[in-house]
Amino acid sequence: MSHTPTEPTAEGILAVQLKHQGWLMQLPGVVGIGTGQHQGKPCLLLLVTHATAALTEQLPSTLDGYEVRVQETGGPVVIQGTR
Amino acid sequence: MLQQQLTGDSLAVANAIDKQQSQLLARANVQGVGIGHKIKGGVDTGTLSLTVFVSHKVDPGLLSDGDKIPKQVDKIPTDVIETGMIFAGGTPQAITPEELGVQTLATRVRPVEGGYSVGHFKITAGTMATAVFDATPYPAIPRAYYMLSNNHVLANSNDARLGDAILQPGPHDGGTFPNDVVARLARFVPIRFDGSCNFVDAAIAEGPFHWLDREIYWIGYVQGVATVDVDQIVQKTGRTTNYTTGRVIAINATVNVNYGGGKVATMCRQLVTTNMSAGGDSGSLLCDMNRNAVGLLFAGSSAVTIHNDIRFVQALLGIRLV
Repeated sequence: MSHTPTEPTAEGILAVQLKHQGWLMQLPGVVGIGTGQHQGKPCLLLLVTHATAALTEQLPSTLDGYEVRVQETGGPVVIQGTR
Repeated sequence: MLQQQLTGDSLAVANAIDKQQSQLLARANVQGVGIGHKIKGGVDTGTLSLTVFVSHKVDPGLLSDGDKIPKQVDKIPTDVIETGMIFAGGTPQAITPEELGVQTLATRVRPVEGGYSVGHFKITAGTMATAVFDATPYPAIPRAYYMLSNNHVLANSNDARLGDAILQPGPHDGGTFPNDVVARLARFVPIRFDGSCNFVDAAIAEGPFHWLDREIYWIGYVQGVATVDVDQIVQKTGRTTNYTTGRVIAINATVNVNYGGGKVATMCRQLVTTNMSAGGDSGSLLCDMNRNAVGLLFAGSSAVTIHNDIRFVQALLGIRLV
């Protein structure tokens, strides 16, 4: 299946992510970013420790045509040896 | 009265359900009925069917004729789906972890299978993913056999020397040197903490062939290596949370992962799933539901679990899982 240039594609979203992840991951509370899916369409999924109002108001709702969604991690992401 | 939304074949199935549901629900084990697609051998055939949900499937020979689900109802094919008992509001009286017994996969076992506790002698404990061999030469007689796990499990987050002892169970689970040495650190991919991209937290340790089993407890033998998509269901067996399943919520993820002592590694091209692990599960092999390896579990939070893409693990360690 071919896509028109304006239609978001899975390849395109990675390029958008790489373009923006630098500044997004500088925001305090943002710990990750990846390609997620919402309503059957690829979206940018931001991993944040806690979706505080102070943080979410700094986040764009879309980036280069892709929806930006937020997933709370509940805390920092840590390696999982025994603790 | 709600407006009828169904049309065509769906309406025919709905009418059949309306007519037959009381006699179907009266049968042994039946928990519910509905409209669905017929699933054959795990594949959605696309054929509309009258789906009968049962608490558990049993051999037809054990059921009386009156309790068997007919192959067709009003000329509509039936499909029987096993759901377990259905309760409102989640699982009934969840058994607390304490009652499950003390960490089953934390015991000493030979040969060791994927899912069991292992660890470098200086760490606490993690999980063995599976057993692997060198990618080259292939096909050939392998020079050595290895267990696969994380760098932070087998190589103490870079602070180890090749040949270091790997204990099974891991030190936290009572493994001691030299009695419980199962393998020796053979290779690891160093983790950089300078903000540049890491793709894997992975290492292998060489052990005697007869002590390293490719089988993963509860999952079985890895059939191949595959990629996953968002929304796919995945499974793993690990030392702490045993057998768990999860759903992929992101691929190609860049994640900052805390290694303790203020050290943070940027991990790129990772898989993110719903929470399916806890401390001690690091090193578990993530598989799709067809037993293809897709990831190597290494980190998480209370809400998500992070896995390396298994293709990077194979390539960077120069190993094959199958």
